[in-house]
Amino acid sequence: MKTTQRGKIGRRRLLQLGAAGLATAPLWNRGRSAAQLGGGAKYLLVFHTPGTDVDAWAPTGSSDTSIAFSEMTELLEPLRSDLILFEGFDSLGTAGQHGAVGGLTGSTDWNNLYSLDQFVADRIAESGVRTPIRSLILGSVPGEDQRSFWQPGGNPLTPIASPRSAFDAVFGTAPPPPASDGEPAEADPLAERRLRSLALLEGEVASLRDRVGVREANKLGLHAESLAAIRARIMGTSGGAGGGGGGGGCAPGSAPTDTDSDLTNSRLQLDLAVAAFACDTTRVASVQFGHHQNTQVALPGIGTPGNWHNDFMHSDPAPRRRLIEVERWLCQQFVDAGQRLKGLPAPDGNGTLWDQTLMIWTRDMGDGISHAGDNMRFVISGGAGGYLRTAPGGRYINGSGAPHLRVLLTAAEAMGIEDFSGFGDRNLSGSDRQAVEGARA
Amino acid sequence: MIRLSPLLLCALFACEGTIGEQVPDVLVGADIPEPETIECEGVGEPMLRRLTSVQYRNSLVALFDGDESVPEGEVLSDPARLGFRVDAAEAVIRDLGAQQVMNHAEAVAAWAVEQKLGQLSSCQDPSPECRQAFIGRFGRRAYRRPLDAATVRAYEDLFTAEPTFADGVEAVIATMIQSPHFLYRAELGQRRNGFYHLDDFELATNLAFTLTNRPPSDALLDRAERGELQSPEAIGEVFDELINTDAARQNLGEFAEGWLDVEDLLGRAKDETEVAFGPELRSDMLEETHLLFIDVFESNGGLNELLSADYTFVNGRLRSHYGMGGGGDTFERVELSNGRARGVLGHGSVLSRHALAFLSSPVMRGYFVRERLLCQELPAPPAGIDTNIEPMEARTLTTRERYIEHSENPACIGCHTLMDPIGFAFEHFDAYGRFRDNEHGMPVDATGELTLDRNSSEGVPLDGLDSLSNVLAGTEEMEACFAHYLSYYAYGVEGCGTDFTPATSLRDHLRGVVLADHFRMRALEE
Repeated sequence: MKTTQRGKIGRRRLLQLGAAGLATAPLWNRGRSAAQLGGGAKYLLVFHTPGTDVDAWAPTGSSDTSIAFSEMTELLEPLRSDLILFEGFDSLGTAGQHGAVGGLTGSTDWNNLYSLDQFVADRIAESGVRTPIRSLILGSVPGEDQRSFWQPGGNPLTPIASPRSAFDAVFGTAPPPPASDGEPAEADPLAERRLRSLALLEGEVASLRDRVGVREANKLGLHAESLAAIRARIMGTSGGAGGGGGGGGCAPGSAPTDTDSDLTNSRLQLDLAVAAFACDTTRVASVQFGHHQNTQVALPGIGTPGNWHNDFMHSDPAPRRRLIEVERWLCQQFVDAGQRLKGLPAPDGNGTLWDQTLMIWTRDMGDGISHAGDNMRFVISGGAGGYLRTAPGGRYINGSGAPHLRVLLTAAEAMGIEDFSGFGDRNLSGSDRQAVEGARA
Repeated sequence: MIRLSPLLLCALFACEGTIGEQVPDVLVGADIPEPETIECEGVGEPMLRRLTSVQYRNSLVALFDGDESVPEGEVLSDPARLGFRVDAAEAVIRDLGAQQVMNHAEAVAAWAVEQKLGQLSSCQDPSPECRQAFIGRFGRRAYRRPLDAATVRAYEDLFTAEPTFADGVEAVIATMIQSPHFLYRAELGQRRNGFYHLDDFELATNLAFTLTNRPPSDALLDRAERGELQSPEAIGEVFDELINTDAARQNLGEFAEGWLDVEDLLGRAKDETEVAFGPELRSDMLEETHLLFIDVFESNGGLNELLSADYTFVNGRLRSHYGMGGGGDTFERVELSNGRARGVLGHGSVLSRHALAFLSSPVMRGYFVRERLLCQELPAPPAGIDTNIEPMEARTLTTRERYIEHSENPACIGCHTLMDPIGFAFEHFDAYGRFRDNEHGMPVDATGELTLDRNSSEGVPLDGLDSLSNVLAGTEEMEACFAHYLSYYAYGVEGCGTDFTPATSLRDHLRGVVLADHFRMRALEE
């Protein structure tokens, strides 16, 4: 039976992830175990950065089954056999500026801004999967205007910039683990206090909702949902392994210390995202590195510290050494995250986290130097439950001007979503609203 | 939303092509299209406005008698819109937001009990009177109104569930900081005669936050409790008291930065290869603008004075940058010299913020005048064109000549005729805000034209920045536009009417904001 109603994880994907799908997969796809493929758990890790120097990034000489890395991208080498580099996809005017809203949404319709991570998280929730946190949005630069992540209705979502704050928010209310003898954990006075407090707060929010109009009630509704989610996390009723980590890889460790470097903080956030996956605390995590206007970069090996946008993109002359070095550093973070995923068991015990995760490197725009979105670039990797068609030499796909929405839809499809209604530019149709054919195994 | 002339829209969208200087880099980088948000026609709807991150911090400090050592935390974020971070619609608490507030509230409560228990409660015994006194006193500040009996009982239940007095205090503080009555400014009112009328406590709260970005003082809450704030006269009295505080001056300066769209000057791209333009100098420029705005405000001047002031405030670093010489670390009022233009348009903050990294930009400056001073909103330039301007190796043309050259292209003229003729009047000032009478030895031509009526081809001739300031200062368009931005800054929504007349002083503009109907009442929802 094929389920096509909006929001359901497609039956076809479940079948595809099963043995039948494995039988038709090309040899390059190096077969995952049937047990793992049938597990169904899928994780999406969005790695979001500003636009770049397209000439320096371009993997000139690449072919469908072989990547010719540029100096800027060569540190992706350890993941080569699981990589697909996408180039030549057109944002169709949605991502031609720094901080453009179309990078992750494929749209500029203010009433229809729905970023990939949120679309996927909502569909996962609608399919009945419950985790303590619906989606995690981390990184960026605190205090700056945030316009990358969106829920429909015009509300931009703000990443948590502080690793410490994020750690406390993600793991701070997890219920205590059972005692070693299997008995329930002893009562936690702090959790009990929090529940009493929540009861009072939820009552106040509800009371206020009765006094206001629809718009303000909706605002308070978001607040009420946020409080209810805390309650569920405290009580351990929010689904997922929720801190137990059935696969054995759940080990949040101690809270990280915030640093003075926003990019270093984002790297710590990437660790946190992986840790949250390992505990099945969330299925969707996004980490934004830097801000499109105001990111001070001071990292070893980068050169003289400066502003990513102002100095590295628009003051340094070609070949823009500092921009190349920042991108190389980002490649290393992407690879490191992949390696950590490979080293952790999946929460459901089916293989590793890597096997179940799709990693996608997205940007707010294509050409950050000349402000253009007609040549968007993406990096996709991860086991992705066997979705990706890979090659030992890596894969390169040139969109030849196809909408960049198609790459975003590829990520959504890899997560098991078939119905893309409500996502991206609604004026597009036909193949413009389909995943990239050549990416699929 | 500010309405855009159809003529202007048509002309701008006609601008296509790939000519190098067509759309400046910095313009594209910053002016991101923004969504439509709440509008009100005269009087808006009842609202709950989430505190900004600054107001949240100021409120915590006020809870503990001004103690600035209250723990910091990444809690609330403030979406930016129109150069401000006050939008009533976009500021919400969602997803992990309540969790972040909870974590921070618990940290603050633990700090308070450890550091200030004795100050928070003169008694620490298990009697009902003792805990009720604490709950009532602390709750009045946190909720910005006295707690009703049911709320006191709810907090007593929280308190008595704890093993010790200190634990009870900690639980109460942590919860009150998370309360929607603390996190939101209520503008709900009581229904009477067809409208919702804000009560005294709501008025006290909104007066304090609007004018000082801080919560109401105990004294102001006392006045509210006595029911003294309902009349326009009483609101005017509070206005006069609060506006003469340092907090109000700081708030005025922040409004000026947002209105003039210079709030991000510290982070703007500037070529510092040949010109020192570090953060200290940029901060000085913002301080100059703060000081002039406050000076005009406090001397009951209006936009005319703000645009025509023949004096400014500079320190030694800024004097040196302006070529004026002298001065020390402190800012002093000085008469203008060395070619400096009059008023705020002649400030380094405005001139350098509305310019490219290394080149003055008639486009950006004309755009600034249209959007910020006349409220003639312009859409973002077409995407997909190279917006960089390469430095000119052979310096054979002035900036003006470079812009005129490419503006002659039929594909571009529609855009540039709306902005460039205004921007040319700024041409005596380079990308760093320094005066020049020549570029590479070629004389500067600062003549231009301002068409106030967009349906008319007849413009007012300009020659230099002072002439532009003179024309703008007397216009009804600029007076209304200023009122528009000021009311948005105060209300968090656009379009609510304020009371002003031509040549209103800045002080009376702001007084009009707190005396306007929207400040005191709300319309019933349809």
